[in-house]
Amino acid sequence: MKRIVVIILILGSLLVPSVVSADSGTSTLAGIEITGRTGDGNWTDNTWKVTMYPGEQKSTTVTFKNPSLRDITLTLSATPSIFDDGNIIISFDNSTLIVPAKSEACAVISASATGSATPETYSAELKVQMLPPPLSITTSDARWITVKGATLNGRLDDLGSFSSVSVSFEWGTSPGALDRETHPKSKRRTGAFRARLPRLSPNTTYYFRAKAEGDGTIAYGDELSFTTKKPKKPFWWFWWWR
Amino acid sequence: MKQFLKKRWHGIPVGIVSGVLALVLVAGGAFAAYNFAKVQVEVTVEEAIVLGYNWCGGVGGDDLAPYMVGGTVLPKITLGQGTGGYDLDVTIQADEGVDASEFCPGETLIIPLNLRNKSDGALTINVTHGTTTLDVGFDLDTTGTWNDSMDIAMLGHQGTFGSDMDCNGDQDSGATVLYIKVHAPGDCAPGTQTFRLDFSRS
Repeated sequence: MKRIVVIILILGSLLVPSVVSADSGTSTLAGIEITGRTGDGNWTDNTWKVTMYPGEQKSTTVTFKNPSLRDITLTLSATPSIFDDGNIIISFDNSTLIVPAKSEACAVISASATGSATPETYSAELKVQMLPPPLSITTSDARWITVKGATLNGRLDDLGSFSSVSVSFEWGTSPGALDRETHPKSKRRTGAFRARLPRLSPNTTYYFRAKAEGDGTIAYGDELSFTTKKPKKPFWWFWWWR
Repeated sequence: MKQFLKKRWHGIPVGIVSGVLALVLVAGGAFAAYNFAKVQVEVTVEEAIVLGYNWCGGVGGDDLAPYMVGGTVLPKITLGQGTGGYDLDVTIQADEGVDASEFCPGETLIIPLNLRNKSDGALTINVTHGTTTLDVGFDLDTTGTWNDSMDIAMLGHQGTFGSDMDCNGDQDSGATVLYIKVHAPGDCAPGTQTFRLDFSRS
């Protein structure tokens, strides 16, 4: 009996985060503030009410503010978005909205009715969802460049929705054709990483870019280049000695 | 570590309990991190076409009131809302004290009906009728060809709104006037004739 009670408690605890999150999500969006709602109709709490005639289109503009230091991507969807056999349609100017860091962006929600629309009240649920940040990586300058080697540097800026990603460098001697790759390393946190390229040719320009891969999703940094050093001439006494 | 894993909590291995709790924390954290907001949208569509008439029982030969073509005695006419929303029942009755055959056979009645478009968008109104016993036709004036059914193009926000349905004396203006010609053929049976007008828009 005790085991059954304990199992029920554990399963019940699984539901707690979902309930709390869904409840708080009905009115707020973490990291995003709604700073303006203008246009046709009127807003009452979280409901946009609009009255229209057949043949008309009404719209409201919602302004989202992103106080954080990085861009946030929002997706907008309405369920249902089509009523009355297609005579009533709820749509957005953009179903995906990027709100830049420390800035604002607007989304226009429209309701349109054809001339054949049936007089009635139609209700839909509009969902604004925050997308996880994309996998992001930066290529940094190469260092410790010698005659036959160099150290490539990169920085994993964001893991996106992945808990760990593989980072590596693609490199080669022709720009845009990086046919070789360093051994991938697994990373669970953002931050700098590096890889040493040995046995390079002297006085040769090499091109490289950082690469991050998580479950089939790949992100690349910019392509940079470096040139290995020329070999130094031996001292005169070396030749004299020989 | 091994000792910790060997321990049991209410008979369940602590390792399993810890694993489940860790999973809950990770799943809950991920769910809360990518939050969402829900907004309700409530769209109310109202009828854009207003039908009306302003002939409040008066009898005359002008275009805004029903009249008999070549006749003087007007039968009693009632217009009412039909079952289909825009359907109107037109009942042509005998004038009180006058025999019903006053209208039948061979006479023609003209009924004007006001149409208004409250929408900002242009609409096309289609009107048809549902009778075979009477010869019914439609037109936007009384001098052209009468149509068995017709499409009426109405601009956005055409006409002033609020017809004189309550007969308070205010004359309507700006409406599109649809004329309905009702002709009683030679074999028309005497008595009340009722038929339906079907309106639809697109």
